[in-house]
Formats: sequence, structure tokens, C-alpha cells
Amino acid sequence: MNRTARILFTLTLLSVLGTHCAVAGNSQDESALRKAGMDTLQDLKEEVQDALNAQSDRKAIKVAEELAKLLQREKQYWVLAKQPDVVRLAEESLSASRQILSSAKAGRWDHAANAFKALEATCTSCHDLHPEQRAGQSQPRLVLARAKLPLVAPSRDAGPQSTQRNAALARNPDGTPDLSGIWQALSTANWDIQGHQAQSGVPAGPGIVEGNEIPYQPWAAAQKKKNYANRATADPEAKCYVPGVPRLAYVPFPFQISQTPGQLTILSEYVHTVRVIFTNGSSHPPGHIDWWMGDSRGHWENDTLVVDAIDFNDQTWFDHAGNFHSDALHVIERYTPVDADHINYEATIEDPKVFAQPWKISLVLYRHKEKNFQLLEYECYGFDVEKYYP
Amino acid sequence: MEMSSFAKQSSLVFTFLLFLIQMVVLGQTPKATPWTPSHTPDGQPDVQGFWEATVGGTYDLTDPRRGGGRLGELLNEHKGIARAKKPSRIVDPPDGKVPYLPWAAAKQQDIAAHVDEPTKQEYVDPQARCLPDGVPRNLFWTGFQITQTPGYVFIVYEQNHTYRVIPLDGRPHVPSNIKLWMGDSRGHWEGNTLVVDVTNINSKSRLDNVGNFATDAVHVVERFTFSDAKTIKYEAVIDDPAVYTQTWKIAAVIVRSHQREKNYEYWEETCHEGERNVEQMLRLNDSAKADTVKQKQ
Repeated sequence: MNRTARILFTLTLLSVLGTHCAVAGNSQDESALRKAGMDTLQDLKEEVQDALNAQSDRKAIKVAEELAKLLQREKQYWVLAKQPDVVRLAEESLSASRQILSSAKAGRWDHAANAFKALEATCTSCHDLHPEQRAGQSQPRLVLARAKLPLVAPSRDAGPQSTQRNAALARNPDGTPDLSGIWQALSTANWDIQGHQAQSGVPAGPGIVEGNEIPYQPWAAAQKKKNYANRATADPEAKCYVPGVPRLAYVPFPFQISQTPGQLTILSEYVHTVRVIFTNGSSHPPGHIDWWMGDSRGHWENDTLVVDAIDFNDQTWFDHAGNFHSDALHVIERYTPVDADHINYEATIEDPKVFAQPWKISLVLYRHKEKNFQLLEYECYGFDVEKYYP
Repeated sequence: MEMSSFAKQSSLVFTFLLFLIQMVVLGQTPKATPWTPSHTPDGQPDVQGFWEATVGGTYDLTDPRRGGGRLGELLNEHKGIARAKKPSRIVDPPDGKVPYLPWAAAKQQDIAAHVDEPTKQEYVDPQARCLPDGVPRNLFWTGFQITQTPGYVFIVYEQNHTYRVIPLDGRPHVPSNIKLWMGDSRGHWEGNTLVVDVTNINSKSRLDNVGNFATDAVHVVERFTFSDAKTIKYEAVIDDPAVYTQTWKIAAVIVRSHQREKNYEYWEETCHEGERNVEQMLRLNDSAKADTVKQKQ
């Protein structure tokens, strides 16, 4: 190839590649280009928000596709500029825009709205980093006033505050912590939620009850003593019944969380127990319902999942020591991931028929880290099945 | 220096080729499938929601229906009224029957002959004891909910609080000596088809009420083909040389359910906790009662 052709080839190559990549630089042309790109992004965001509000799927899909393309370029820009923290935020924005697209295609407008909130949150986080001022510039950072920056504690529906964001957590496209995975408590609470010494087959433990006292009403304290005396057969666990709430959190078996927008499903290895926590803003159904695992409705407050659980029967125990409740049980749980592998679990327990006042428990849930770890089964009511089917 | 026309053309061709390469690399070329699903963040076709087999019932694989109507059926039979049957779930072999070895056929026929009047505990289907139905039976008994998170498909059935976790990361099965009611599933996507390999099934529950069965060496390969936004064309190939003369195949259509019920929710179904049926079934027959009494002693 002659020299002119080579030049033409290189320019062509650069111009074609340049539609998808860019090299970080300080030139005026570069920053003007970037500002134009940001303005386009902002326009597209406003357009997609209008489309989502109007539930116009064709428009939402079209705009979301353009948004995703732009954000893909944006991400590539920061990859080449070697700014990994910005790349991560761009990736989250891209992921959120794809979630908007897929939700709009499926007609799931509430999911799309959540994904849009996530997109706005990641855009804000990225802007706050002022990455365009990096790469050697020593100008003071401009602090731009942003109408959307939360200055007060967020309402129930708001996404996470960027100022309190725990960077160690895995997050969903909508910004909430992602609790998916396999977890287990290391506590001895399943035997006795209060402090206890060892017995045959029961390790000693400090208990999980704050203050170590359970404020039973006088009749209930007597009932608890009876339960304890009869625990070998009276514990519902002996009949292989599902353990209720909060006991499911600390039975000595792993459980897997499947977290999707609107629903958190807890699948326990213990007797295949299933517990669904609805996080779609819905309310408890008209009650009272006598369920073993209750009815659970959750929402996020910053990085804490707050769950309200009612509609229990009186058939489960809190532990093997005979601590019990009535069908008026009301449990408020708080799941706070403190890093990628630990959740601080707290629960407030109220039952006006049994306790003189509410009381609290707390423990840690640990993520299983073993390679290829998975749930197996503990189908205790099937252990003796050979008796019937030789 | 003037550029030769050849150089101009070469540049244009190169530009065009680069453009094409980029299109492919960036994955913007649409695949030629009849239905394009939306995708989860990890790239799976998004098939989440509630599903149910169009023909429900696990009474009999070769004559699919629900067992709840059995009394009515018997009365009609007695009156000589023919029943409109649905085709066998079994599509291979073509005769729609399970291809048993002779000893296994005899065992199944013995159970089938006693299913209306169980004289022994073993004639009562394990499903009556709320034991998990295994694979694939649960798919026909109730509706189920699919959720997906990165690297996983979850199936939660609406009865017995049973579920399946299907990892998609290609990890090996658990050791073969671990036998599970719901088996051990490993999945991967082929376009819009979820292929699931299931082993380690304990086969302590049966394939239907009339005694069709496998052993714990059984191997099931399922294909959930999501043929459009609302339909699964389901197939399962079942292999167990200890019981069958060949592999055989089940097929079914599963469709999205509860679509008109806004905000339908999965609610608790605790079978074992409330189970009292088996005692009643056995009381219908005195010798079965004697059998139960003997076993308690």
C-alpha cells in the first residue's frame, strides 16, 4: 500500500473506532464532545422517564436502546482512561438501562421505574466523582448543586443515599444490596435462644436475646417451663414441621436467597421450607391467616431490608427449649449487610398474648464461600419411608 | 501525490470490514429466532413468573388427569359411560407406554390394580404423605414460579413448599451416593431452551399414582423450550437401564398462568403439617388397618 493510502487507512480506522472509543485527553474538542454526550444522555433520560410514565412501550424500548448504546460507549471511554471506579459506575448505569429495556419489553412498568431510579442514582454518584477533572489537572473541584441529591433521610421508596453508600456490597440494578446467595447462622440459638450451658448433643451458647431475658407474662412463663420439660416430643421440629419465623434464620442448615425485583425468596435446606418476602410495596392481605411461615412484606431503608411479618399460627417454637408464641405474633426483622459476606440480622418480637413487652434478638448470617456449595436436603419426615415402601 | 483509485477502494473496503467486525463484536447483529425474549442482567432469557401445565394431574402418565375425580370416573365406568381421554404424556415409544423390563411391568401393574383399595401401605402413593414428587412429576401437579438470579434458575412449586435450584455454571453433580427427593439439577441455556440434567434422584416417590416408577440410578434430561412469551414446550428423556428396555420421553405444554390476576402471589402450602389423609385411606380397608397396627408394634 502506498504512503497516502496508509494515511487514509489509519484515519479511517481511527474515525471508525472513534465512534465507539475515545482516548482520555485534555483538549478543548474532547471536553466539548464529552459535554455534548452528557447533554444527550440527560435528554434521553428525560425522554425515557416520560415514556415510562406514559407506559408507552414502543417509545420506552427505543429510547432505552439508545441509552444503552450511549452508556456502552461511555463505559468504554472510562476503560481506556483507566478509571476503574468510574467504569464500575458506568457498568451499573448500563446495566440499569438494560433493565429498563427488558422491563419495558415485558410490560413490567414497576420494574422499569425501579431501574430508572437506579440509573439516576448511579449517574449522580458518577457526577459526584468529577472524573472529567482527573488525568493530571489541578483545578479545584467544582461542587455543582444538584436538585436530586438527597439532603434528608430517604423515604421508603428512595434508592440508597450516595453519601452513605457501602462500596463493599454487591448491588442490584436499582441500587439495593443484592442478598442473593447461600447463607447460614453459626449460632446455637436453634437449641436455646437464651444463654445456655452444654448438654448432651447441645453445644453451649451465649444466646441471641438482648438482655438474655424474655419478658413472658406469668401464665406464659409457666407454659414455657412445661414446654421445656416436654421438648423432646413437643418441639414441632420433632415432627419435622416447618420452623416458623425467626427460627428459620438460625436452624443449623443453609438457606439460599433468590432476590428479584419485588420479591425475595428464601429457600431453606431444612424440609424444603420456602419463605417469600414481598418487596413490591404491597400490603399484608386481609387477615388473620394462620400460616406457619407468616406473611412478610419488606422494604429497603438505605442498606437495611426491613421486613414486617404477621399472620402466624401458634404451632411453632422459637427454639428447642420451648420458647413459644401465639397467633398474635408480630416480627419486625432488619437484615443489614455489613460487607459482601456478612449480614447483621436483628428481629423485634411482639406478642401481646404471651409477652409483657417486645424484645429483640440479633445474630450474624454468614455467606457460604466453599467452592460449588449448594443446598442439599433434610427431608426429615421422609427418613422412615422405607417402613411403608420396602 | 494523487491517490490511486485502488488505494481509495481498499480504504473503503477496509472501513466497511471494520464496521462489520465491530457490529459482530458488539453483538448488535440480531439472532434469527422466532421470538426474542428480554434478558436478565446476566444474559439469560427472562422467563420469570408463574407457569402451569395445560394438562394437569399426576394420576397416570399414560392417561393424564387429576386423581380427585376418581370416584366420579368409577361411577361413570359402572354406568358404561365412556371417558374422553387425553393422549399419553409419553411420546416415545410411540405406543405411549413406559417401556418396562418384565419384572418392573409386573410391579407397576400390581400397584395399579390396588390403587383404589389400598390393602397395604405401599399401595398408597407417597404423594399422599406430602413427600416431594421428584422430577419431573411436580411440574404437572401444580403451578410453579420461576425466578432467576445471575447463574441460577429457581423453580418453586405451589404445593408442599418444594423447589429446585438449577445452577448454570457447569459445576459437576454432587457425589453419586447422595440421593435427593428433588434430585440434583444442572442447567444451561441453548438459545431459548433451558436444558437441565438431573441425577441423584432418590426415586422414593413415584412418577404417578398408578405406580410408574424408576430407581435411584435414573437420569432425566429436560428441555424447557420457551417457544414464545407465554409457552414452554417441555420434554424430558428418562433413562434407567435397571427398569426400562430403552430411554423414553415425556412431552407437555406449559403456559403462563395467573396473567389476569394482577399481583398474584405465591402463598404458603404446608402439606405435611396438616396431613391426615393416609390414616383415612387405610381405614377404608380392614386388612390395611391390621397392617398399620402390626407396623406400630
